[in-house]
Amino acid sequence: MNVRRVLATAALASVLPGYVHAQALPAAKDLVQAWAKAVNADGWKGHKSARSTAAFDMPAMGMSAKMELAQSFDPPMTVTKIDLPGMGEMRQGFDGTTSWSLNPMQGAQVLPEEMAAAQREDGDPGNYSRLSPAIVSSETVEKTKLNDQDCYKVKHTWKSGRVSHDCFSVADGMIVWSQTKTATPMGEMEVVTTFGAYKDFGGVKRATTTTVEQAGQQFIITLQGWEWDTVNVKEFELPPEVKALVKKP
Amino acid sequence: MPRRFPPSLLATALISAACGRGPATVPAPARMDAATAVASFDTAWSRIGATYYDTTFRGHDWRELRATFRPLAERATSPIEVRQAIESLFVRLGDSHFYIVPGDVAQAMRASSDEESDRPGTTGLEFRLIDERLLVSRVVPGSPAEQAGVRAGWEVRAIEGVDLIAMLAARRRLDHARDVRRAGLQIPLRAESATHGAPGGIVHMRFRRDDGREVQLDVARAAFDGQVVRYGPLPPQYFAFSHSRHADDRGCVGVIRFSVWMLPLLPALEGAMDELASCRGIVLDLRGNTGGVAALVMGVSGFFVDRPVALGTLQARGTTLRYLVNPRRSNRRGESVEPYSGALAILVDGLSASTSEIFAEGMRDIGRVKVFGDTTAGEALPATLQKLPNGDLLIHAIADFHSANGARIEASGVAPDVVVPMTRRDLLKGRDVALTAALTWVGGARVEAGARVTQRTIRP
Repeated sequence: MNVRRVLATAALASVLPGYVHAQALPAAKDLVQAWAKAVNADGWKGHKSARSTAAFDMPAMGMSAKMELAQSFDPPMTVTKIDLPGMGEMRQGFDGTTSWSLNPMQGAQVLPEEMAAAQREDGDPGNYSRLSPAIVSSETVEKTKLNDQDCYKVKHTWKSGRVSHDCFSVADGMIVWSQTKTATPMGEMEVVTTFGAYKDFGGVKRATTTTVEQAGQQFIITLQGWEWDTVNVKEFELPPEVKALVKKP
Repeated sequence: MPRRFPPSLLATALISAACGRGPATVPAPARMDAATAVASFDTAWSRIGATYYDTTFRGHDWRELRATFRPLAERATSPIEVRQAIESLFVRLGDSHFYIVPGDVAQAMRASSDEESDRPGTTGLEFRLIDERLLVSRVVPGSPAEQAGVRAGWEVRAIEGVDLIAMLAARRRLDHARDVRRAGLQIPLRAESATHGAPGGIVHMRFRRDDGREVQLDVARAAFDGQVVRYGPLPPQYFAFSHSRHADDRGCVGVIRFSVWMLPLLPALEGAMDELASCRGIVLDLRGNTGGVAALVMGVSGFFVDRPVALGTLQARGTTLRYLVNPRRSNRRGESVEPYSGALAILVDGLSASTSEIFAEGMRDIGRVKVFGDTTAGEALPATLQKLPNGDLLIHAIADFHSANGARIEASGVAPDVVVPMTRRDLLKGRDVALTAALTWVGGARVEAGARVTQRTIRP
């Protein structure tokens, strides 16, 4: 079903009684397929790696930073760098085996397996489509209004056991809001993300503005650039401090 | 872009600092238009309402408080009156870590610290309130204050620009223990800030010496012997770090002292531990350390703890996070290392606040340290910042903190295992009784605080 048909279904549902309204929600499969097609989610195929650059802002703190994410698709590897003025560089990565972080507050860390799994999940470009085998089921749970936008909330159950929600805009089918709980060494954290101003980056539509809310804090990421196949595999090498932590077999 | 971010990013945003140490500049109060005044009050009210960890707001109706105090902001004609309206909300909550840093002050302090190669000036004096009197608690060796003849234990009678008599009198009029304690924290810091400024400047001070005579001294400021650290929009902070090695016939014991929990701490500590790793005991001197970036406790504790245990939990709305030790098993050179396993003592006093308290109580709870000194400030809530429309910075608590054993430090402080309060008599005699007690304990036998000491100070 394309977005137009989804919208038609939604318009019809709005004039029906409530109990029918619930049945008339568009199928998650249709919403996801329409989304994947609209953003050209498979646009990464044929590429080996991607590099994105962004502005990273913490408005409440008055802090701004440069952010860079490099990712390899096969094998899945990622490295994220956020250079906060006056604080130094915060790095986090996954080299296909080891999930790690290095920052000026905690030093070097090898992160637990559940975080490595999460990084594998995050680093899989196929998951952007929400059609990947990593998601075992998707279900439309309600029509709601989030950030002044009508959207269909879809619940995803991942192979990892994680449950997340996306809200697909009634107006254009774009994902405007996401919610998930994620395990961290400090404890489980709910992460709510809002997406806005979708634009073409490297042939794939992506949110220019991503606002992340967790534990009362807000980070705003403004995507600035996207490059395919410019990442050198050496970029995923473990920093010396982390390398020393990895036990030799 | 990743959908999930390292918790350290969240932790970055959490500060835990009772008060800062930085150069003092107080610009003249400005006028303020009504719309900005109200918008600033509303922003503060909304932000606290959305993030304060206690959804009962200590039993107050948050909307009702807005209705009560917003008119003060509506009538405000100066930034001071707006701050008073917002501070009325703080008073109802009663917690620490609710402050307003005036925007003009923060800006002026940032500008002044940009001058003189980013190195403001200090006299080298620290103060404490002891028996209702403001005393010189420390004279930094080699500082202008030492050269001017100022001695520890002298009573401070007057500092240019600070109405000490009024401040001390106001404290005596307080009837709430919490307010008395906070004033005891703020008066010495306010006095210390008043001695900061441009290098080469003169600070006029009057002291009462040990013989009872009053002396007027003009003390010049010298460039601060450490780093000036910026953290977001906050005023610059003084980061001073030193470590000393006390050698004896059985080896050595070490003392590490740092002024605030700011980001140069981990590399500085790594350097110190390289030199002190062979010592049989180490004293961490957190006296006068008012806090800083709370997340640093996870990295710092990793130098001394060999397992990933929690030092405590912070409970924000809907989220409970642990301050988890990250055992340090590698250094910046990529070499494998082990956390220090020798005896460890922590020194605290009434000016040890916030992150220092979180660290001291957490480390004691997991059985790693013995705490010496005096009861701490009792100001231990994770907080964050919000810029207000009038340019002021709102610092507001967003989480409660409980140590590993469930203790709540807020309002009560950390009570030492070995109580060694600072006294005027000891200060006048040049004795650091708390340090001697801690050194003796970590050393396994009497260690004199001043014997065969090699001291190093971080240079910017």
